[in-house]
Formats: sequence, structure tokens, C-alpha cells
Amino acid sequence: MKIFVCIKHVPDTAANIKLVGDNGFEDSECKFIVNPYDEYGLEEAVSLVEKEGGEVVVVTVGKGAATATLRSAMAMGAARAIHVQTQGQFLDSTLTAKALKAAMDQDGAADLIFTGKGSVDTEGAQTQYRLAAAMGLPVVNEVSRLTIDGQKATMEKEIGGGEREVLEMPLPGIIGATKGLNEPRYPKFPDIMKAKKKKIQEMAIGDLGIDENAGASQLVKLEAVPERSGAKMLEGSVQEQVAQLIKVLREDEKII
Amino acid sequence: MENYLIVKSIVMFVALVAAFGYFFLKVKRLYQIMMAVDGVVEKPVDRISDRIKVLFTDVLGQTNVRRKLMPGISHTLIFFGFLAIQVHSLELMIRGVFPSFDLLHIIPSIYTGYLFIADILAFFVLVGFAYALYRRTVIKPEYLTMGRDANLIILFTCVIIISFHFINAFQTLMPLEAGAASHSGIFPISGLLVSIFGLSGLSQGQVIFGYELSYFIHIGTILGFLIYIPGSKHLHLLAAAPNVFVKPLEMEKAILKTDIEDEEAETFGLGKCSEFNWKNVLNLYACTECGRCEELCPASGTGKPLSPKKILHDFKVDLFDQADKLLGDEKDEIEPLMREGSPVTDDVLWSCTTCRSCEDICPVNNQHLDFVIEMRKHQVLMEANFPAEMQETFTNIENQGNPWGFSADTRADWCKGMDVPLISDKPDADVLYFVGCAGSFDDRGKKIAQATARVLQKAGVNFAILGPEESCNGDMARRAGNEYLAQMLIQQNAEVFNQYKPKMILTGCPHCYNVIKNEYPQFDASYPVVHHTEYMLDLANQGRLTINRKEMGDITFHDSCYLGRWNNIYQAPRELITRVNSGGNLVEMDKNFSKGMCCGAGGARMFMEETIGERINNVRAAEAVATGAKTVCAACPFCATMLNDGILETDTVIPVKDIAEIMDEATS
Repeated sequence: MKIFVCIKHVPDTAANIKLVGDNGFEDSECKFIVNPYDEYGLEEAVSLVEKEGGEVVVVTVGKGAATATLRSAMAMGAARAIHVQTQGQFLDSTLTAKALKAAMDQDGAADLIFTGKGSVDTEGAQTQYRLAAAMGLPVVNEVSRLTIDGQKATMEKEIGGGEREVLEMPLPGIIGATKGLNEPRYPKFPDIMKAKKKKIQEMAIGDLGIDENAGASQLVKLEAVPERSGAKMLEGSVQEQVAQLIKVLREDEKII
Repeated sequence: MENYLIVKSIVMFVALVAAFGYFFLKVKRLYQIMMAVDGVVEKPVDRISDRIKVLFTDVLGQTNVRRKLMPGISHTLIFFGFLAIQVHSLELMIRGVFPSFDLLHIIPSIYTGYLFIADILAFFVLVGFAYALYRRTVIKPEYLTMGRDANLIILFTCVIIISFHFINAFQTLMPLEAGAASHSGIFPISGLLVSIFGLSGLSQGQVIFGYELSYFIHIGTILGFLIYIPGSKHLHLLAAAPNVFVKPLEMEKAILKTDIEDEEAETFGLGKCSEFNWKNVLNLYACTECGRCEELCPASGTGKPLSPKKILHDFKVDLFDQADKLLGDEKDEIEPLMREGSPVTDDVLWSCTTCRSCEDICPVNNQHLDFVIEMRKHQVLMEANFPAEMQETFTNIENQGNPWGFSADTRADWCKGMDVPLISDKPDADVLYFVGCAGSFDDRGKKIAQATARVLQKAGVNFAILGPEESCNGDMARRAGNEYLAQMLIQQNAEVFNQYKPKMILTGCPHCYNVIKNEYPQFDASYPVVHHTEYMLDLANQGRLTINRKEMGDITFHDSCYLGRWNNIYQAPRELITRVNSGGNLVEMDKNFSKGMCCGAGGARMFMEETIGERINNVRAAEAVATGAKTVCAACPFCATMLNDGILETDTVIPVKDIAEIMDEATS
């Protein structure tokens, strides 16, 4: 079984992002990680290959620094990596899908492709669909349970209200993984060391015939989320606090 | 009689050769096992003269054993009495083979004096055993292993001593050969047996029979003992002294630096018994299962499956079970220490808080933590097997340099508006305040860091912090077995230290203090380190702090493991508390100083669930409440949090304050 896992090199959500200019940010001081949703896909792929045999190849479209992120992914069990290099962090998802397709086509057909349900930096959740369209493959997103039976994948996804949808899909196909699918492993130390020597095939996005700046959408501006104003603490006895609360709700907030 | 002596010579010769031969082979095998293991011992056995001194104080002086007074006195009596009769026993053995050999004849005055003393000391062995029996049958401490092994040894030894006295008693009545010196009057205790049992009325034949019978019981039991020792827990008779001889001479210790860059290494940490180092093996031999470690272990005491004594016992059993493979060069066949059905389970391994009370109290100076931490290393690095909740903690530390995962660049936010300079702006600062993760990010810890900074400012100390250049110190990752992550953090901080070359590093957290002081030198970063308890006492002594004494009521101080047992700092915080409190006493909890009980947070336990037994912090908090103190004083941000959470479980409301906060309130 050959499985591609598309991963994205994203800033750690815990990191404070310092904006630079209109649509950039300071990424040299910022810790980058494997997009957490992609890790569910990666874990699933690695466990499948551990059981059934085969190969997991991670593919990313991102800046040069994404090498470190690819090494982390390979420490978790991917055999090798393909890195389509870009200049910027925010690539239009049409182009990302195109680049992923081109890279995977060069490498040869796969039985299954995993992505995350979306990336934690741009939260676009577009790439898996665009990739499926470009490749002419079926796609199911937000998968939290998966069984593979021959050429068929049976999947479950949460659809709200505690309901689950069960879907079947012929393989090959694309699966967008989400939380609940598994618990991504913590790499063993020898695997971290081995990952340092695993092969990363690098190519510039331009070499795949794609112009990085010719996306269908453009990032115009980045703005910091305004900090939430502090909570108002009510002081005094319970009676006093209740009286104040009613006053605030009536006069300041005009709710009652 | 002539014929009898010839037969006796032959019997004794055969028995001695057989028993000593067997003993020799057993000991040789024990030695071979010790030499066959592959583990690394970081420090060579140096400073021989200091070690010889230790033999005098700890072994001959029995100081370690007597830290538990009554059993210690009992052990001292048994030890000296048993040691004292050995010359006599040896003489008897030689005389059994060569009947004409008689030390009393060769060195009459010396041997007479010796016999006189030995006779008295031997009797004290029985006094010692009387207490031991009382302890085992009436007191019955839970931590004491009540096995057949121990009872058999007591029986053996009592038989040896009683037969010793009877030999001497009969000896005084034996017919004297021409020119032989008389034994009468040199056995103060054995002599009493003659009158008590009316032995002087016996015929000469009966006396000789009694003597010979006592002789064979005595020597027979000693030889039986000799055969029995190497396979029993009383192997400590042989291994304790060498074990004490090679013990770490300093109480401060560093965790073994694993060479994780060794590309040849197939495994890391301690996975199976062949990966012990020779000191570990000697530890196993030296353990006599006295249970003092278990008595003080905060995990054992709160219903966790961990007992330091039991770990060592189980490892000894495993080592002996697999010794044939170890010695037969089939190391690949050796099964892992933690395997299906192994008594050392995940819950055992991860219950340890690394408080070191086991090592501190151990009368033979065993290093229990060396086993625990190396095993954790193996489980994390090789098996990725650790409590699930630690994964997020490891990831947080890796990504943001702190266990909670706060953004690393907010590390200096705790002192916003306090005018605390960064060392990058003030490289000539006298003191580099290493704030630590708790002080930087945790709400409780931040208040302690702020109090510390205020005290420093009041004293006019020229200090600075690293701010975002500071990262987690690596203590927690290291004690959780993540040596890879720990070394990354330590190296990162070490490089920053080496860049600024601080004149002195001040820490508020005992974990930072310990690891920077004792483990950073492994990574080429050796700087003077001081904990805020000692530093504030220094400032007060220099008159740089104006103390406004206040009535605070009784205060109890909780010893942090990493200040006390790991670094011997007990007095400084107590001294400060006494100085600033004008109304109230320093009251001690039941367990204090070197026997102080852990708060439950050490060894990365702060970030693990505690689901088995009682919560350690609740038990400790209840002890603090029981003192009736108005304030609980801690000197570690983790202790403060743990104790506060514990006190919330009681009906009492008392504040937990860090010593820095108390000093902040009491100074201007």
C-alpha cells in the first residue's frame, strides 16, 4: 500500500504572531509544527502501513524551513518526503492543490491520500477538495473513524448534534483527517535520529510549471485579533454583587 | 581420644573445604555477574582516602544504621558481637583440623584479652536480637519484609552465639594438658553458664561431650550460614561494606548524561538487566530489605504500587533468573525488565516523585533513583511509553520552552511595569535571575517571581533576567526520562549562559537551582548558582534588607526535596522565617528536614494524573494543617501550588506563601 500524506508547515498555535507589513509576519522567531490535523492523517497512514505493509510518503508545499517539519513527520514513521518549495507561507489553495498533484504524479500513483481537515494557520479547508477535483478522486473530509477493506474505505464523520454520518468511498481517494481518528504517536528517539537521514526530494514550485503569484485569490491584509476586554469583577457581599449585576445588565449592557 | 581427634580433623577438613569452596564459587559467580553487565558508571571510584574514612564512620561507626535509633542500636550490637567472635571461630576451625593449634598458647595475654571482650560482645548480640524479635513480633512495621529468610538468619545467628557461650563454658571445665594455659576466669558471660546450669558437677567425659557437641553445632551453623548467605537477602553482610565504599561521596547528584549522539548505540537507558552498571548490581546485593525507603516513600505511603525496596528486590530476582544468559554470552536473549507479568509496571515506574528520601535514608547508600530514571529514559526514548498526559507536556516544552505551552516570547510578561532589566540590556549585572517556567507563566508562580524581584530591588541588587532567551531548565524532561528533550533544553540554556557569562545565577525554583548547579556542568556551563532562600539570608546578613518584624503567628516550613535532600539547604529558610516573625514560632510538621515529605510534584509528577491511592499533596497538606500554623511557608513554586490545592481539600483555610513573599511583606 502506498499512501501520500499531505502536510502543512504551520506556526504553532501557542506562538504569538508578530505581523510585518500588510500581509506578512515575523516567522524567524516563531516555532513551526506539522499542522495538527495532518498528524491524524499521518498517524493513520503509518499504522495502516505497519499493519499491511507499504510506504508512507509525506508531501508538503511550503517554505524552505519546512524541512524541519518534514523531519518531524518522518520521525513519526513516513519513509520519505517530497518538498515543493515556495517563497511565501500563504499560497492560494488552488495552487497548493496543483503543486501537490504535480509532485504526486511525478512520484507515481498512490492507493490512498490523507490530508488534514484544514490547516490551523489559514483555516481555509479548501486544499483537499481542490486536490480531489484536480486528480479526479473522491474525497471525504473531517473523518474521525476509518476502516479499510480491500478497495473500499468506510468512514465516519461528526455532523453535529451528536449524529455521525457513515460513508463509503472506493479507493484510491482522499481523506481529510480530524481529531478522534487516533492519537498521534510521540516519536521514539531512534526514529527521530533515523528521520534525519531519510530522503527529502526537493523541487521549486516553478519547476512544476506553477507561478506562485498567480493564485485565484490573494491575501490582502493580516490583522491581529483584538484582545478581549477584561472581565469585570463584582465585589462585595452576595446581595451587593447581585444588585450590581442587575444594574450592569440593565444600564450598561441593556439586556434586561 | 586420639582416634576421635583424627576423625574430627578429617571431618572438619572436608567440611571446611566443602563449605568455603561452595561459598567461594557462589561469590565468584556474584562477582562475574557484576562484571558482565554493560551499563556505564559515570564517575570513577576516586578519593580513596575519603572512602576509607567513610568505611570507619558508616560501617564501623554504624552511623547510617543508627539514624533509626532502636533498630540501629540493635544492629550495632549484633554487628560488633558477630564481628568479634569471628577470630575465635576461625581459631576453632583451624584447631579442628590441627588439634595442637592454640592461640592462647601462642599469644596468651592478647588472646585472653580478646576472649574476654568477645565473650561480652557476643552476649550483646542476643540483646540485639531480643529487640529484633520484639520488633518483628510485636511492633511489626509494615515496611519490614517478614520473610522466612530473615527469621532463619536470626535463628542461625542465635545458635552461633549460644553455642559460642557453651563452648567457652565447657572450655573452662576441660582437663588441662601439661603446659596449657587455663581458660577459667576469662569468660565473664560464659562463666555464668557454668554456675547457672551447674556444669561443674559434670564428669570429665560429659564435659568433653558437651564441648564437642557445642563445637559441632557452632561450626556447623557457621558453615551453614556461609553457604546460605550468598543466595539470601543477607548478602548484605558481604556487599554492604563495598557498596558503602563506592557510594557517591557528595550528596548532590547529577543524572547520568546519556550519550544520545552515539550512532553505534542500539539502546538507551535501562531496558534489561544486562544494562545495569556494576554499581547498580552491587546496590541489589547490598539491599537487606530493611524497608526504611518504603517507610518514607511518598508513593508507598499513599497507596501507590511503588516501593523502592521492592523495585530493588524484583530487579535482583530478575538478575538472578537471567544470570545464565548474562554469563553465557546470550545477552540478546535477555528479556526486558518491564515485560508482561513483570512486577515493575508502568504504575510503579511513573509513581516516583524523585524526592530521594529512599536514597537519603538508605543505610547502605543505595541509589534507587539511578534505576528509576534510567528506566524512564528507556521507556521514553526507546518505547515512547509514558503516561499519555505527558505527551502534550513534552510537546509544549519542545515547542514553547515551558510545560504549559504559553508563547515563549511572553516569558518576561510577569514583570511588566516592574522595571526588571533584560541581561541583553545589562550584561554587567551582578546577578542573573533565572526565573523558571513557573515564575514566568504560572499565575501562582508569577506572584512569587514578582515578590522575589521586589526584594532584590529593595536590597539594591544589580540583577537582570534572560526574558525570552530563557527556556525550560530541562529538569522535568530529564526526570520524566526524555533525555533527548532535556539535553536540547540544557544545551540551549547553557549556550545562552556561556554567551553572557553571568557572575552568579539566582533561582527561585529548587528544580532550576538543582539542575543548573549540578547538571549543567555536564554541558560545559559551570556558574555559581544560589537559591533565593540562601541569597535573601545573605542580603539580610549584609544589612541590605530592612526587616520590619511582624506578628505572623506560627509558621510551618515545608522542605522542598530539591532544596533539602538534593542540596542540603534546610536552615536558610527557617532562619529567615524566625527573623521576620515577631509573634509566633516556627513549628515543624511530623516529617521535616531530611525526612520531609514530598509535595507530590517532583519527577514530572506535577504534570501527570494521580489516580491511585490518596493524593500525596493532600496527605502533606493535612500534616501542615495539623501543626496549627497560621501560615505554610514553601520555597518552591510547585510545592506552593501542590500544598495550596491540598489545603483546599481540608476544612482549614491557611495561606501557603513562598519565603520570597514572606520576605517581601516583611522588608522595606
